Amino acid sequence: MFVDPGRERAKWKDLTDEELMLRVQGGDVGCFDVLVERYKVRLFNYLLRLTGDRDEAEEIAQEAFVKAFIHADKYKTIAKFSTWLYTIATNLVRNRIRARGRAPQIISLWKRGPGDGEEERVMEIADGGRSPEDQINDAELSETISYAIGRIPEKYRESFVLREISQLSYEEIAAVTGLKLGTVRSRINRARNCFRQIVEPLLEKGIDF
Amino acid sequence: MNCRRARKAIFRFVDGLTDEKMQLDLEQHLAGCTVCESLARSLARSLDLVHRAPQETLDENFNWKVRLAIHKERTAMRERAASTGSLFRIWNVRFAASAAAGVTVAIAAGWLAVASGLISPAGDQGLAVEAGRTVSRPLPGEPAQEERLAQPTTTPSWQEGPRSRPAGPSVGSVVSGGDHAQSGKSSRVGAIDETATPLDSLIRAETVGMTEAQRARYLRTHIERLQVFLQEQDSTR
Repeated sequence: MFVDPGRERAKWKDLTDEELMLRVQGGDVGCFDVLVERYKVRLFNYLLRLTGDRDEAEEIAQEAFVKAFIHADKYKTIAKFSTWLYTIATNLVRNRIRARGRAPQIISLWKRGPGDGEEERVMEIADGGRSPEDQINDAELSETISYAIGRIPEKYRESFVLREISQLSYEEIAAVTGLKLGTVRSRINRARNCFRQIVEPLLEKGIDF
Repeated sequence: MNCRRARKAIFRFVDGLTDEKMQLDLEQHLAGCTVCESLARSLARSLDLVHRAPQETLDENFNWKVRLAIHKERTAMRERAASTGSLFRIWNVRFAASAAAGVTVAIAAGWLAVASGLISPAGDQGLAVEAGRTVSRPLPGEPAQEERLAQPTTTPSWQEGPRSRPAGPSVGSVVSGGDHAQSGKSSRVGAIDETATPLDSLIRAETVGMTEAQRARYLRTHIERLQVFLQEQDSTR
């Protein structure tokens, strides 16, 4: 019997993450596409703020999805899929940092010109049908946030990004990072204070994003 | 509310965890404390900045990239499993072949060693089996096997004690010469040699390598023949 893949996919979109994962475990590979579609942007933004490197963030996001699929049989519905996926991604970042033996580099939009010795601004601006001014503002804001997050001590950064960028609850952050709830709260507050101190001078200068 | 408690309350307020009473107390404190008020304002602005951070978009081919990566990973996993299996099989065959070859070589070497007399199946205890009978090996400084066999090391029962010579002519007259002098060479049996007759030497030479039973049978046969010979001699006289 012919099954329309488009209609099937539309049906899958109504399912919860956990139901989709159960289907993936049962061999319904197409369901995983729906999960990738749901989480790719959120996961990428989390990783981008954490690593400060666009290419690396994309690479880790891809690796995290691959691991989630390959080890789908190990997933248990008692945990939220998002928490499980973020845990995989966080561990991948930790492994990379450990392997490099240094903190993640901060993304820089300023690079030296090839010959003139002057600074040349390199920006990737997405064409979203917005005015060039808005796009530049977004790029500046993004750069400032990445810069400030990159200055937060590594110990607090993970929890801060999970809370402020990925909007995870404290309980979910505790599950992802493997920390106690009280530790998570304390780390997030320290990171917030740190972030405020980094951003405050820029705000006082009157830079309006 | 003091400044310390107010700062804690500010962070709770940011998370929306303050109840009405705490919120009221905080507002009262901030109205009178410029330091805490400044902190709350700057924290709210900075966090607002983060929350306004634009969502970065991914490459539109990301889903395809993930599918491709999954396919590659699964293929690699299958190949790894297959190569591990084949390696195990190859290892098994190689192990069995080398074990069989080793056992064959060991058996062949053992057989050759036994055949060439390098080792004795009875072990290295001074014994060797030759032609179905056990003989002792010469110890260092001892004469060779053939010499020792020619020289009796112990006194046979038939040599012990005074013996009565049969009447009539002596055996020495029948068998001229004899090995008496030869047997006298042995210092171990020197005392025996002094009393030994030519007949003794003859018998000893004739029964070299025989067991006691064979020697007894040999003697019985020859004594009977000797008796017949003497009777014939007597009758002719």
